Amino acid sequence: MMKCPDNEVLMSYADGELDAEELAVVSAHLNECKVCAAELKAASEDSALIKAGFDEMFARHRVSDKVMNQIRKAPVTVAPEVERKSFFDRLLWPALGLAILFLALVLMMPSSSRYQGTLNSVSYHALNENSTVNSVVVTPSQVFTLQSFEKQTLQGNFLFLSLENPSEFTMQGNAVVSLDDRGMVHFTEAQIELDLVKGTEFKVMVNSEPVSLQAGSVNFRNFTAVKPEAPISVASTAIDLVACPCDSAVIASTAAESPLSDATSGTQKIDVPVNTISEPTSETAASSTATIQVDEPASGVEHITNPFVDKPLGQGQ
Amino acid sequence: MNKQEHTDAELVKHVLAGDIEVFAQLVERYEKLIFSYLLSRINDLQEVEDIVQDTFVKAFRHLASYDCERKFAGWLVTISRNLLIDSRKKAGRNIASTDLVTDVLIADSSKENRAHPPEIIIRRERFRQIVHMIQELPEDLRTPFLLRVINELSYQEISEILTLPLQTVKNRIFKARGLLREKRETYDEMP
Repeated sequence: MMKCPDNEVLMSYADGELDAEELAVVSAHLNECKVCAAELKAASEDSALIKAGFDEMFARHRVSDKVMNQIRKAPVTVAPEVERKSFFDRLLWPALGLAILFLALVLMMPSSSRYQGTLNSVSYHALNENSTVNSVVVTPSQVFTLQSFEKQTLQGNFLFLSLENPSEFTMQGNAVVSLDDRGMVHFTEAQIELDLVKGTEFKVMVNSEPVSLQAGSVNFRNFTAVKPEAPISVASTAIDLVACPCDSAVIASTAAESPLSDATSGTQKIDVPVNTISEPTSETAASSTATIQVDEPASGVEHITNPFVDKPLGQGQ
Repeated sequence: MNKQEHTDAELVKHVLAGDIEVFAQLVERYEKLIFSYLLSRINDLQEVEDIVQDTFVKAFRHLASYDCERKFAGWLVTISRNLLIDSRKKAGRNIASTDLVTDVLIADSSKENRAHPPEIIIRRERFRQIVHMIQELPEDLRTPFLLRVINELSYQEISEILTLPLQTVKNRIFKARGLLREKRETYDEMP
């Protein structure tokens, strides 16, 4: 009879961790050695007892229903600190390093030849697997940088990141995006929804109109998912522009509905810059509806799970 | 979605795309693992249950940051470990300072003894003894040992989940078994 295997080998046998050759040797030994067989049996019985006991305990403390109930109450995922750290590691720190190097080079240049415009480094990436850049499907891991005057056609959901004025905003829809020489992001041919998810304010141009995205209150949208049976007709919809206490915002609504019942009627609050507000003449109203479709049935509001904010988007703030 | 056909990464992708009910599959898949991990570190069963629940809710909230290259189970263990540390800081309690698991088991067994035949009572008493022995093990031995025995994970899987070298996991499980064997022999020799 071969020498008894040491306890480690015996326990590895019990755990199914031996390779085929070792397994054959130990199996043969166990057929002959009652001491090792008894040792293995005792250990296996203990393991089975522990497992059965803890399984019973676990069965009394299942949490899956509680977890799902809690999640259903607030079905939103957010990017935690860990994500931001990894983002810093992957993108921001290298970008900041380059920025410092660039700044050092600029300062070394003669003042007459320094660039006088506003620099703004804006990058973006898709938020899902279905979005396209210039008709090519892109993944969320692909990060793009906006270059001055270089137009890119976007379709889908994207997150934009500005390094100069640390801000992040999401874009959903279709648009041609570009950066002008002042660092301003332009969305043209745009049917989009924009939401600021980080930072306090960020100004962009949408279809040649200035739009100010502001934290906590802005859902810029110039397209809506309107139910076919209840289309919103621009011609038949009278628009009231009501000045808010805050001087830069208006609430637009149809006359047919209570102007301030946004949470229930689906009316959206839209912030627009002061210089776009004019007298509420019919002409102004018509031009507003041409680019900003403001009313929709509550059921038509698309619920968006935004991974970057703590509350659902597409609802009244 | 059909269960058991999707990888963790696929399930995560579905949840992030808005199908939050799919998250239930991830909870069911790893609930026991997190329970046993925490049980190896906390003796208060209610606290274990609370932290298991918090672990999954936090995982859901932060799912966007989950790196699909990483093992989902390892990510969950990291979250539960951090929650446990936070819980201890808040409560100012000492880890494994009570013997509540044993107390609960004793309470359970005494409550149910009247309704069970003698062999079940003997098994429960034996279980209580083993739990007591396990509690006397150092925590770094107890955790890999319980992950192996309760979840029947391979040494490699435990190594990945606890981010420990494979050989360290092997050594700790062997050492835990050795100590338990000594304790069992001592126990069996007691009158």
